[in-house]
Order: sequence, then structure tokens, then C-alpha cells
Amino acid sequence: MNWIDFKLLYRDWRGGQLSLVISALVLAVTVVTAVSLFADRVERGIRQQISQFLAADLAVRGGIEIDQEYRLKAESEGITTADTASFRSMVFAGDKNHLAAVKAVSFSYPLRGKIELSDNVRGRNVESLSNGPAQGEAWVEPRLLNLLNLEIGDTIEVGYLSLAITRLIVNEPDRGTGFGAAGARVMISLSDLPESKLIRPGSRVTYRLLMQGDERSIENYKAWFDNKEAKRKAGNAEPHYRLLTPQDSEEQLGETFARGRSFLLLSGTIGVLLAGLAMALASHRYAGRLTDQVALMKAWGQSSAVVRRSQFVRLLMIALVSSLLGMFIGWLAHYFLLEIARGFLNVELPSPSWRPWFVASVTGMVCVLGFALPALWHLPTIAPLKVLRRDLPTSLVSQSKRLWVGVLALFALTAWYSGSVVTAALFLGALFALFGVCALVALQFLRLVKGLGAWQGSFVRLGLANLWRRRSQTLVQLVAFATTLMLLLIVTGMRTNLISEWEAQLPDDTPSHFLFNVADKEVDAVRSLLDENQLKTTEWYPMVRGRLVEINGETITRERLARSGGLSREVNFTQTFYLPDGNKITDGQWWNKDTENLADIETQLNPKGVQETLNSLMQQFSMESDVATELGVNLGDVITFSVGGLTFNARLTSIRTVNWQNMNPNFYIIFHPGLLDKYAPNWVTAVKAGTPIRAEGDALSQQAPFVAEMVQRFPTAIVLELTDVVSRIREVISRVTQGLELILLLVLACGAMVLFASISVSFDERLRENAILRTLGSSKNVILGALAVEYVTLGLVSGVIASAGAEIVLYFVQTKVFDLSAQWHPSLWLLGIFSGVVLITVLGLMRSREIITVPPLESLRRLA
Amino acid sequence: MSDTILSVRSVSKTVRTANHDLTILHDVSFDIRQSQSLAIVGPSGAGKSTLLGLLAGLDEPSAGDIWLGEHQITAMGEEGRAKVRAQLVGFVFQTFQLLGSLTALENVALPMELAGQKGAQDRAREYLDKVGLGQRVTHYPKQLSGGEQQRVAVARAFACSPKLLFADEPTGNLDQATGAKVSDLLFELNEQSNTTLILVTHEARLADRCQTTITIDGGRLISQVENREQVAVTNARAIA
Repeated sequence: MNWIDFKLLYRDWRGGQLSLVISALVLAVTVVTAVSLFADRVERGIRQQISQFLAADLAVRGGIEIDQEYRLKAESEGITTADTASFRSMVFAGDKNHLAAVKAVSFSYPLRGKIELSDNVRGRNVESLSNGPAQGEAWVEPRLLNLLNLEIGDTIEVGYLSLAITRLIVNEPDRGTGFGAAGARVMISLSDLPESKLIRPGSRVTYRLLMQGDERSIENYKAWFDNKEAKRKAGNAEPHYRLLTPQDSEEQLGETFARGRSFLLLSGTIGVLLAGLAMALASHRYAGRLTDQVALMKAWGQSSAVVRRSQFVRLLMIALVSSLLGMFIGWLAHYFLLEIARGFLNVELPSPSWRPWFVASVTGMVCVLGFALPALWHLPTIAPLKVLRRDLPTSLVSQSKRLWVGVLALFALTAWYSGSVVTAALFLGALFALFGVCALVALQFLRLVKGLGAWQGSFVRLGLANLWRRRSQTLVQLVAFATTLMLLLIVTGMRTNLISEWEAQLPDDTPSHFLFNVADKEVDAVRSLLDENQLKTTEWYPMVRGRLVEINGETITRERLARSGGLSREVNFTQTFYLPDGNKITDGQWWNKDTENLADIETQLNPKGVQETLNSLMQQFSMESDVATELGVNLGDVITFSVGGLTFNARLTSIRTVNWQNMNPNFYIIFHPGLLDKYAPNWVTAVKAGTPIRAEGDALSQQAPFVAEMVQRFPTAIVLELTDVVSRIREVISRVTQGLELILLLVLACGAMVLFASISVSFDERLRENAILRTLGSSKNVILGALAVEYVTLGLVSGVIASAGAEIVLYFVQTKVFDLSAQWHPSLWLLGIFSGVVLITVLGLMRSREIITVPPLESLRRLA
Repeated sequence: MSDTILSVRSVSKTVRTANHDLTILHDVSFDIRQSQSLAIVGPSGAGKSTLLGLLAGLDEPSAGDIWLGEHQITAMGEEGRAKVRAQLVGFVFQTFQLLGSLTALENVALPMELAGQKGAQDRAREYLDKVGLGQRVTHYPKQLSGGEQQRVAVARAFACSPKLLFADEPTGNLDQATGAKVSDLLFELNEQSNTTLILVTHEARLADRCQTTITIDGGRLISQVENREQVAVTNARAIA
């Protein structure tokens, strides 16, 4: 390495020849750093929590109480145990209430990790304990105090119990990070649970037996458990319990995060692509500037090898400095992403690993090698004779070769980011197809605009003619801007429009509340309560949770179940005589009058012979068409179901479509009436209580008059308000799209680089042309006007293409994903066209100001 | 012949065009002694610049031999010729060939810096002083007039102390007065540094100041004239 290389590099930078190359590279690295730092820290934060996620070394989890034998086995292995029972329930303080996430724990909880507690709402004086609350105590999350207007020492009612709030929970090891744990935490002693009378048959409770012990005893327990499960499976019995290990959760989360990370990085790839394009254009111009320097160096006796080495050293330095700068800016930017995500990430974030820095620096290097180097590759081969004969041709690396190298570099990066060659190929294929379509549309616009120009005054004609004359550059600028703007508009459109449109399109009689978990014997009482309040409900549906076990006697593999998002876990089953509103049979037949008659007969007579016929006729069910397709089942297939450990068979006799939009209780699987009777179902219905009134702030808003009475009289029933559900969905979408918007804004900056770079490509030509025009007597205003016309048109066309593209994508999202009727988004068009015109005009004129301000003589001399 | 610094023997240059071979130089031979000055004159398209390129080792002849000092550059590849150029040769061009992003000082220092010479900046400053631009060291080429730019180029060429200086139409882009100043400077520095000067020019006055003038026409060397007055001056200087 030679100091002169650094000197040359510094002088190139000072001469302004490198600023575009460096800015583009810095931006590419910024995008990738921000995205991967964010993904890495969140992932590691959650992984770190997982080690304490179980608050134990091992746990047995089940929807029913953990059987004694599991406990005894643990004891025999010398394993320490603790118990938890988690469920959602209303808690009360005076006339206020909140649907809380209640967790009853034994005193020995937690076995791993500690509960952090505080005695004040500000979270000061935090102490860490390894035990749960004593009898009569409740530990709560600080926000519950705000929600219910309470202070430490006050009492809350949990079921039939009054408990004193003695401490505030700052952190608990196995809280989890999902959206499920939405209610404020109320932690009580397990010994208080029976007296609270909160747990009744059918209540949805998650029981955990936590275990802590040495490695060997834990391994023994695992082996014992697996053996037991294997036997159970062989006996066709349904497993009641699952064994949870920290590794399981880690594996599952690992996959989720790998997907999340590659999704974010792929959106960043668009930025890298545009920045790469800008770099390639800027490097081409840089190479042009270096031609004289290299010819001179060679005439002075520098060998090709020396020139090549000098070129590599300079590029290496560019990569190094730009990557460092990009990493720094990306590091700052990732805090914005974290800020946006903070609302739903309740994780303490560790400092990042080396990986994001590695990803960023490799990106920087690959960008330089893939986009800048090909444009400079020919320099060492420049003949020294060029100092005498400037017209001597230089053997540039052909444009198509440079393009291929660039695409290859991008492909390598994308494949690396996504960890899949196929994903990379599909993603880049789709992206290039989008570019191609944009370019084709843009070309047609340009033709149209060129035609218009012929009818206009001098500067308009000049501006439009320039656009057409330099159409390859115009197209590059158009495509870069139109696609990034389009992506931004799509994301913004989703955030601002879709949810409100969905809400607006809900029919007037859409239910406002859902009642879940109403016990069999409570149904009549609830009905009369609702009648007293003059509230209408949809049908009442009995509901049990269960899963699919076999199809035609064959066990359903996990893979097959996973194909159907809807049925991959335990789902809600119901039974009903009548096809629910909004359901339509597409194949097969809904149970007919014969079975109803039989049911009537059964209820009246119930003779043995009839009962048997009834059983065979009753044993049928109906399935929603999407899940039927995903699962690959057909009419006539016999499926084995499992509910609460008991199995039964039923034949698929109809397939239906469901209008999920009507917000009524909807089911994937509906059984013939009678089939679920023995499973002690809970009941569900939807209530139409008019427009609900929202509470302030974070408080959940069960403010309709019947709600308070409902939850007080039926503490195990769950009342869910639709606006709460919608606002949660809105929040999630809003945060995700805001994060994406931030990344896309960086991508848009890369688009601006492309604009700058492609203006630079024609800069000398423009300078010369305008100098000649000025010399021939054109005023500054004519030239300024022509430039303005050029950029405004460019912005206009980009804006129109971007808006149209976004509208098309939103149309599909509206109609296919949200099942809404299509709707125009004039505000989006306005935003697209306005931002296109303003951005391109301002940036374009900024970059071109020299063309207007430099006196013509100086321009000509400079270019001589 | 021991002080011959440049020897040209039967040099021809043929280039292949789309339809046929075009011979630019035919069988050119001559010698130049150390510290001499040589003007190559002739009409446009005669092959003067081609010859200059061959003499400086920037290009290869199709036939014939060229010796620069001890080196038979026609037997060398580009890398070998580059080494010889680095040791012996300096240039002044019609279009100045200053790098726009470098100051006058940096332009002059650059070839020395590339050659790894120490004190390049000081020496550059010294030569800029010599050409009367000591106050303009930090100026960029675009801030200098054409004459000033060429003076920077002359300083750059001499600062490296080349044994041979090749100048291609050094005053071709300048008006008469400025051109005269630049050529004064060129010959002055040439005298001071004992350099062999080989220049291509259209200007008779400039050619007249050289000790030898060769005329090229249609690619052939048609005359080689010793300028007695100049030879006398040189001899007188040598005796003194």
C-alpha cells in the first residue's frame, strides 16, 4: 500500500468525483445495517428471554389440571416443582373492571429467573424475588392501577375473592412477548384459586407444572414423558399434556425470526439495488474522469499492475470508509425502528452481535465489487498513447457484462440475506418484472408527452424533447422513482386506509360485543339479562375445543396440518341445525329434515332402535372450503376428532364458504347437532349493542351498560369488544407499516441517488448544450424553464405510475385479503403525484443548478 | 556516437483500417545526442505525433528499432517501456493535460510522488517559482489561464529531471505572445537542466530555436537540417 493512493483518493473526493459513489454506498450500507441491527437485537433479546421463558428447566403444560402421576414422577427423580394456572378473567374495583390476565402461582414459583417487584408506580425500589404472592395478596402490573384507579394497598375483586394489592410487577420471567398477553397481569396465590371460584368446568385455563433439577434427572423425566406419550399414541389416545423445553421455544422462535429478518432484509435489498444502480452510474462518470489521470500515470511509466493496485486500494478505502459511515448512520436509524416497535416488544435488548456488522460490511464490499469495479475495470488497460491521441478508444467493459456482474452481486446478497436461492430468484425476478412493467408504461407516457411537446412554447418543447432524447436515462430515473414511491404508497395506503375502509364497510347490524365461555347452565340467565337490556344477539352456539387426529383412519401428519393455517392447532367446534348466516354450501348437502325429524323423534320417544340410526346419521360434519382445500379432504372422508382426550368419527357431508366479514361467530367445522352434547360445551354469541363508547387511553372499553352486570354476575364468561379487537389490529398494522415506511424512506433516498447519478451522466452534455443555447441568446429563464418542465414531467409520470401501481396492489389486498369491495384512493393519487413532482423537481433542479449558474464561457472552457 | 541519447533506425508504422493497411510512417531513421533539441515539423496528418509517440515509447512501431539511451525500447513490452519512461522521459502536451481536481502544486508534484521521490512538494514549489507561478500554487487549473496552465505543465515536466522531454505542439493552444513566453521558458529550463528536447510543432519560430529540425511529410522523413546558429550557441556554451 502506498501513501500516494490515499492522496489520490483524497484528491478525487475533494474534486467531487466520488461524492455520489460514496453517498450511494453509504445509503446501501445504512439500510442494511439498520435493518439487520434491529432484527438481530430483537431476536437476541427474545432468545435471551427464552432461557427464562419457562421460569424452569422443563414444564408440562395442559388445558386440564396436571395429573398427579406427572408430579409423582418428578418427585421420584428429585426434581423441584412449582405450579401455575393462567386464564383471563374480569377483575373489579368498585364500579370499574378490567379483563385481566390472571396467573395463580404456587409459592415456589419461579424456579428459574426472578420476579421483579416494586412498591411504587414509577418502578423504583425494584426487588427480585424467587417466590410467588402469599395467600390474600395480589401482585399486579402498574397499568392496572391506572385502569382501575387504584393504589397499592387497595383491594381488588378476583372472582369471589377480595385481595390486597401489595406489590407491582415490573417483570416476570415467563410473561411472554406475544399479543395474547394483552390484559394487565394479576398474580395471585394458587391456594386462593379454589376460593375465587373462577375455575369452572369448561373454563379456559392453562396449567403448567414447572420443574427444576439437575441435567440427568431432567433427561430422565423427558425420556419417561416421551415413552408415556408414545404408548398413548399407540393406544390412539389423545395427548393431554405437552412437554415444554427452552429448546423447543427457541427453535420455533428461531424460524420465525429468520423469516422476519429475511423479510426486512429483502425490503432493504431494493435499497441496495437502487444504490447499486446509482453507484454504477456514478462510477461510470468517475471512470471517465480518471481516464486522463491513468493515461498520464502510464505515460510517466506506471505499469498496468501499479494502476490496477492503486485502483483496488482506492476502492477498498471507499468501501471501508463508506461502510463505516453507513454502519454509523444505520446504527442511529435502527433506534427509530426500535422506537416504533417498542409498543409491542416488551423485551430488554442486549447489545447486537457481530452478525449485523458483518452483513453490513460484506454488503459494502459486494456493492463496490459488483457495481463500482466493473465500471472502472478497463482503466489499467488504457493505452499511454492516449495522452497524445485523446480520441483513442478505451475498451470499456461492455454494458451487458457490467449489468450481469451487478445482477450477480445483488443475487448473491439477496440469497445470503434470505438464506435461500429460490427466494432470491423469485424476489429479484418479481422486482425486475416490476421494473420492466414500469419501464414499458413509462415509455408509453414519454411517447405521449413527446407528442404534446410539439404544440407547446419554446422551453416546454425543449424540456420535453430533452426527456425523449435521453430516454434511456429518463427511464432509469422513472423506474427507480416510480417503484420506490409505489412501495411507499402501498405501505402508507395499508396503514391509513385499509382498516378504516374495513370498519366503514361493516354492515350496520354488525355485532359490537362477543360473549364467550358462557357455561351451559348460565345461558338462560345471560339471555334474560340481555333481554332486559333489550339487546339482540346472533344465534347461540355451543363451542368445544378440539383437534383433528385422523383422516380415513390415517393419522394426520404435522406437515399436513401445518398446510392449513386454520386447523394446525386446537380449534373451536360447534353444532347447529341451521346453516349460519353468511355461510353458503358449495359442495354436498347440509343436514336435511330427515335428521331433524329423527332428532324430534329422539327427543320424544328415545327408543333404542331409533337412537342407533340417529347415531349414524348424526355422525356428519361440515367444513369451511378453504381449510378443506388446504387439508386436501373431500366429501365422504371420515375424520377422527379429539375433544378433551376423547375421540369420535364423523363424515364430511358438506363444504361451505363463510363470510368472515359479518363478524358473527363463525366456525371452520360445524357438527351435526347432538355430536358434541357430551363434551360440556360453552356457549358463544355476538351481541348487537349499538355503537360502543370508547374509554380513554389504554383502558379496555367494556362500557356498554350490560357489560358490567354481565361480568359481575358471570365472572367466567368473557366479553370481548369489537372496537378493541379492531384497535389492536390497527395498532399492529400501524407499527409494522411504520417500520416498513422508515426502511422505504431510506430506499427512496437511494432512488434520489439514482436521479442524481443519472443527471450526472449527462451533466457535461447538458452543460455544453446550455452554454451553447445561452451563447446563442437564450435567457437563463428558458433554460431553467426547460429543466423544470423536464423534472416536473418526470415527477408527474413517476407519480402517476406509482399511484396506479399502488392502487392495483391495494385493490387486490382489499378484495382478496380483506374481502372488501374495491374503493378508489384519491388521496393516495394526490400524495403520489404531489410527492413525485416535488421530490424530483427539487432534487433535479438542485443537482442541475450549476448548469444554470455557471457562465457559458466558463462552461465551454471547462469542457474544452 | 557514445553521447547519442535517441537512435531511430528504419522505423515504420502501419495501422489496419477497415479496408486496407495504412502506413503512417515509412522507414524513418535519425539520431539525437544528449542535450540536443530537435523539432519535428511537417503538415497536418504527416505522422509527426505518431513519431513522437513511438520515440517516447508510448507506442510500438510496425518495423524498425528505437534506442532510448541504452534501452532498445522496440524489443520491450509495454511494462518494460513503462520502466524506461519512468527513468528517462517527461512530457508537455498541446492540451496541457493537467488534472482538474489537483492544484497547480499537486499537478507538478504528482509524477514525482508516483515515482516515490521524496520532497516532491518542495521540488514542485521550486519549479513553479521558476515558471513564475510561485503565488499560484494552490490554484486549480480552471482558475488559471491557458498560458499559465502550460507553464504548470512545463514545470511538471522539468521537475522530474527527465533525460528526454517530449513536447507535442506545446504552444499550439496558445496565442502568439503567450506561446512565445512558454517557449522561452521551455528552452530556458532545457538549458538549465541539460535535457534533450524533442518537440513537434507547426510553428517555424519554435522550430528555429531547436538545433535540429526534421521534416516529415506523407510519413517520410524528407529533411534533417542542423540549425547552425543554435549549434554555435550550444557549442559556445559547452566551451564556456
